[in-house]
Amino acid sequence: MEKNQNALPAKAGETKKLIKALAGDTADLNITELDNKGSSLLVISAEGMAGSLLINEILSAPLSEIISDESIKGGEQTVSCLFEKLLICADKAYVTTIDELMTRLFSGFCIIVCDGCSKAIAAGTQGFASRSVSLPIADQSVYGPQEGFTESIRVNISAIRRRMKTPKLRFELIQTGGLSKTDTAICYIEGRADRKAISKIRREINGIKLDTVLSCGYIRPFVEKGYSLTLFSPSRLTERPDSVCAALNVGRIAILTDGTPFAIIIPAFFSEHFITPDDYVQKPLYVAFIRVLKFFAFFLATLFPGIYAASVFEPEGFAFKLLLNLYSAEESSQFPLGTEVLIVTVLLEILREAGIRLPKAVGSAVSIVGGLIIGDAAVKCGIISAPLLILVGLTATSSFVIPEISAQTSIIRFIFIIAGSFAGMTGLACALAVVTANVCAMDELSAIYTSPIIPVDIQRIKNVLMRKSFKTLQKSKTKADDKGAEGL
Amino acid sequence: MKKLSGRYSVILMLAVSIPPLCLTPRAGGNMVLTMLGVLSSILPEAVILLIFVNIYKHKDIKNKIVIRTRSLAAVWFLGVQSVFTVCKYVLISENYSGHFIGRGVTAGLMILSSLYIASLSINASARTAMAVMMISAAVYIMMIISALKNADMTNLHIAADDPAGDIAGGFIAGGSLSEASSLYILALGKKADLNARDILKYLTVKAMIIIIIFTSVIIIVGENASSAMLPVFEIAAYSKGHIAERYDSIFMMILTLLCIMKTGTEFSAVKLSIRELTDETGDYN
Repeated sequence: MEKNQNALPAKAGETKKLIKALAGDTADLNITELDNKGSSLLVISAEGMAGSLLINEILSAPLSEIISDESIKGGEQTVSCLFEKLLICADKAYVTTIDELMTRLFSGFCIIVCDGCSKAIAAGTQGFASRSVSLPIADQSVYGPQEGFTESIRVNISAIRRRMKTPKLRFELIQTGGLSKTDTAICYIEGRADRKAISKIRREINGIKLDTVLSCGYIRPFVEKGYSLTLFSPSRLTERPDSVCAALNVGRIAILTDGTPFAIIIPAFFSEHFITPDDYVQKPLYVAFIRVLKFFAFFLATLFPGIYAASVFEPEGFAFKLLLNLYSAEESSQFPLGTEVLIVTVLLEILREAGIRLPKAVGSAVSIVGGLIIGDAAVKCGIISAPLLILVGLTATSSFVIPEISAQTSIIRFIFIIAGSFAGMTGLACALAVVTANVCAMDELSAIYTSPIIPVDIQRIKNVLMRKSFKTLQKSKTKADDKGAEGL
Repeated sequence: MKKLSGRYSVILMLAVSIPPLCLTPRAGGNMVLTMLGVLSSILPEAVILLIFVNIYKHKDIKNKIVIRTRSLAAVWFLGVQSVFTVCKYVLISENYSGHFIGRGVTAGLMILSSLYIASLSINASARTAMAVMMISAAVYIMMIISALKNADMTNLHIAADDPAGDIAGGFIAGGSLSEASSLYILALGKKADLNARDILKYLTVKAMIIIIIFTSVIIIVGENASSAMLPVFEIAAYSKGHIAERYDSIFMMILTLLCIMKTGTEFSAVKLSIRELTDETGDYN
């Protein structure tokens, strides 16, 4: 590793040997050796990473010219003339160490090494195949932009820049992963994002000691250090460039990772999970109605099965007629109520998990098998009661209303079911207190996760249930510590 | 050191005020007189708070009077909290189970939940208190709206068999439970500059809560009172709820939630008081 950082040898032959030794004669290494007036000139590239058409377009003319020009003598002169006069390329740099040369080479740059010069030229000829821009799959919108991020960080940076032409928009590129050398970009708007927060994130990313960083999931635990045991996360993921721009506008920081079509937005707030890009197209009254509905759905998805499981301890709470109906339905079941609720909820989670990763054509079959066949058969066999099917259907549908936090919803639901079936309403109250405390304890980067609901901010709490009017948006100049809730 | 805002302190105080108020109607007796007792419990509380404010003015940690007063307060809080926690949890767990194992499990669950809240920072505890307050208030309002159809004004009874006993019961229920603990935390941690206005604000809100909660709790839970007539409830008594008829379980849930919160805050008070007495630097965070 220490040898890797050594300065580049002045002889091209030695450089070639060193590269081959370091790369271990890898099959994807292309080294073209040209004769430059008796000395050798190497054109090195990685197959598939550098585009051959780009190499021809950018390098063939300058190289022919430099080789044929008799007035240019010696390696130093050749390299400086090539770099300063002939090579017209937006992304070019001198490389002085083997380590940097290898990183650039396998990032898609084309390396030009000349005999007699201890400097090489790296020309940006990246031309690897990548997925084209398509619909955001996990973050869909009906009326909003239909463009999502891709796996290429450069494409993602351009997608944000296209929407934010301000010179105050900053992208800081950091390489993470000892072996993967993955490009990671910290993105923020100068003057809006908190400086302390930026330097903290920069420090955390620079401190990553992993060998490989293959997706944003590898970065996330480091930037939200100290929150490994919390149910919710102080950051959130988005697949939409417009969501990132909205967040940057209110002083948030975005982190892009090469190889992932998702950006991390930090800090995030609980109330943001109930906001969608479509809210800015719809009428405010309708948006308010939908947001209330979403909060109600969250309550149903998390608490409802727990309350039902706990009701076995307090049956007198039900209205008499309803109690009789439930009792007669429960009579056919073989298991205690709490166990039944657990069985059905586990079944729901299995079906959901099976449906997520299956091809679309098979996915619908899973729902038919799960919902109709297993559900119906389980009731007929007396494993579960019929009212439970209504409960699970309602719970599942409600959890789909806020897909961003469906994982957390599932965990909370299980906590409440176990607590409710174990110790009734008292257990439910204990679980509720612990879950509430767990959520309220989060205050990453001085931003309180439950803000603006807790602590109550009269000015901003109305934005949780109602969309901020564009008139108000014109006036707002927010910072990260303003804890804006309108970042999508 | 971060300062705890006045809003937080009030919320924290409110959160710890409700459980004893909820407990009082269950004690039975004449509700009006009991309420009078609870309201009069504000008076000694105000005296305690004023003393605290004066102690707080002595910021010199090495001052002997300050050290002795705070040590005494810490011991008092520790003692009161221990006794109160046991009594409160026994009351709740008895409602849950007749068997000692069931009672033990419930009490254990509640203590663990309180300890978890106490393990958080003071700001996180204050936020949790506020969240618990909001959840309780929302459930309470839903319960009242839902219960209105079933309300029976037989609960509001004016005559009393033992007026002095009812007043004393209310006084003990409302006042003996160490309400000052939250303010004590604030004073210890130098989180808020307590002054007479803060105390007045606290007492006013507490009095309002007493009146609001008492009235609603009497309507829903007060089984002990006998008949009294009010036209609105007479009309409402003809209709029946479609989903729920009795609200004891929901009431019990709110009570448990608030008790956990109160105990969690009390544990925090103990934690802070011990830390202050053992930390010579005076930086308790």
